[in-house]
Amino acid sequence: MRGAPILRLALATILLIVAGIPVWSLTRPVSVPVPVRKAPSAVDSREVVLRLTALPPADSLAVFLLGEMIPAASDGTRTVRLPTDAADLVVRGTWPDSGSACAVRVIATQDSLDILDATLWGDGKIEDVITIPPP
Amino acid sequence: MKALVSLALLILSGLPSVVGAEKLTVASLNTVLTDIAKNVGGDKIEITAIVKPGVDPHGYEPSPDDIRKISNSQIVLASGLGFETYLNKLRQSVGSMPTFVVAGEAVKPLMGFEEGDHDHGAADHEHKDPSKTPDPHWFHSIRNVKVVTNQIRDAFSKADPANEATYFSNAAAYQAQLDQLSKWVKLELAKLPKSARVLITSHDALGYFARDNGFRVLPVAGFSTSDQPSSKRVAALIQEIRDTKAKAIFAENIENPKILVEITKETGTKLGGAIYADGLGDREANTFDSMMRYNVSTIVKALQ
Repeated sequence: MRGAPILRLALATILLIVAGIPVWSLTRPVSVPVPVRKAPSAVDSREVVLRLTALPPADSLAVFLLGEMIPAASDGTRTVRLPTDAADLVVRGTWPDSGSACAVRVIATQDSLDILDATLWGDGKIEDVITIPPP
Repeated sequence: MKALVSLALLILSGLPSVVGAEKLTVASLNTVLTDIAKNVGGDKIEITAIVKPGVDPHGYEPSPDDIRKISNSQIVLASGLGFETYLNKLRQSVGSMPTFVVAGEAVKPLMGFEEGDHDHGAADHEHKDPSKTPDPHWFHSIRNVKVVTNQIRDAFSKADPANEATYFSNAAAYQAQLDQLSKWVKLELAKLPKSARVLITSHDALGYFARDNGFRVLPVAGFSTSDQPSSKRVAALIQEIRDTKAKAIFAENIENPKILVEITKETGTKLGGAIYADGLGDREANTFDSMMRYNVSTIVKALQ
C-alpha cells in the first residue's frame, strides 16, 4: 500500500463516496407538496333559499354576496351557499316611478325553516344590506 | 341738523348688538363634539374648540388660557367616561357658570378591561385597574353620535330657548345625514365576510365600531394611548393574530406605529394604513362623516 499511491487514491475516493451517500440523501432538495387550500365543505357552509317580493313590481332586483350577484331561478328564488356564521347580502332594486314609495320583502329559508323575514323600503330605488343570521 | 346727527349716532350705537346678536357660547373638549355642535348650532352659537384635531386627547391638559375660555362659555361639551382625566378638577376650577354636557352620560358605555388584566397565570402580573373600565371612544358608533346629537340639541334649546326651533331643525337635518352615513357604512362593510372582520389596532379605541358592525378587536394596548403593553401581552397578541389569520394591522394618525411594524414582521401581516381613533383629523377626516368614511374605506381596502 505504501508504494502504490494510485491505489491509495482510488481507495480514498471510494471511501469518500460511500461516506457521502447518507449525507447527500439527507441534504438533497426534495420537492415539498404545496398545501392545498381546503375548499369549503358542506360542514363549513349551508344552503339558504331567498324569496324576494317587490311592491310595486320592480324594474330590476338583484342580490349580491361579497360583490357577486346571486342568480335567480326560473321561479324567482335565489339559492346561495353561505358560511355558517352570519352573512351580509346587498339588495339592489329599481322601480319605474323614481319618486314613489317602494318595498321589497326578503324571506330567507334554511332546511325549510324561515330564518329571516325583512322588508326594505325606498323611493323608487333600494340599496340596502340584510344580515342572514347564523343557523 | 343736531337732531339728525344725534339720531344717526343713536342708530349706530345700537348696531353692534343687532348685527352680532348674542350667540350661545360653547367650549368643546372633543373634536367630534365640536363637529356635532356646529351642525346643531349653526350660526346661533360661537364655539371654541379647546382640543384641536390631530391632538392626542389622552395626553391633553388644559392650559390657564383654556380654563379662562371655558369659564367664559355658557356650555362646555365633554366626552366623559374617563376620556378627559382632568374633567373633575376642571369642573371645580371653572365654578358654576358653564353648564357641562357630558356625552358619556347619554350613551350606554361599553365596559372592558384595561391592559394588565389579562395574564393571571404569573405571580408577578400587574394590574393597572382591576375593575371594569368604560370605553371612552363612544364616537365610533353612529348610533351613539345620534344620541349625543339629541343631547346637544336639548342642551342648546334649554340655554337659548329663543332659537329652539333652529336647533331642532338643524339636528333633524344632521340625523338624516347620519342615517345616510350609516347605510353607506353597511354597504361598504358588506364587501367583507364576517370571518375577515378582525381589527388589530395600537390601542383599544374601536370597541363601539366593532360592536355595531360585527368586528373583533385585538388591541395592542388598552383604552389610552399612554398605556404600554407588556411583553407578555404582545406575545399573546402575536399568537392571536396567527390563530385568527388576520390580514392587516392598523396604525393611528397620532401615533408612532413602531410596535405595530414589529408585530407585522413577526406575524407576516401587512400594515393596513392609519385610521383616526381618538377623534377628527385636520385633512381628510375633519368632520365626523368624513372620519367615518375614511376609516371604513381604509379597513375595507386592507381586509378585502
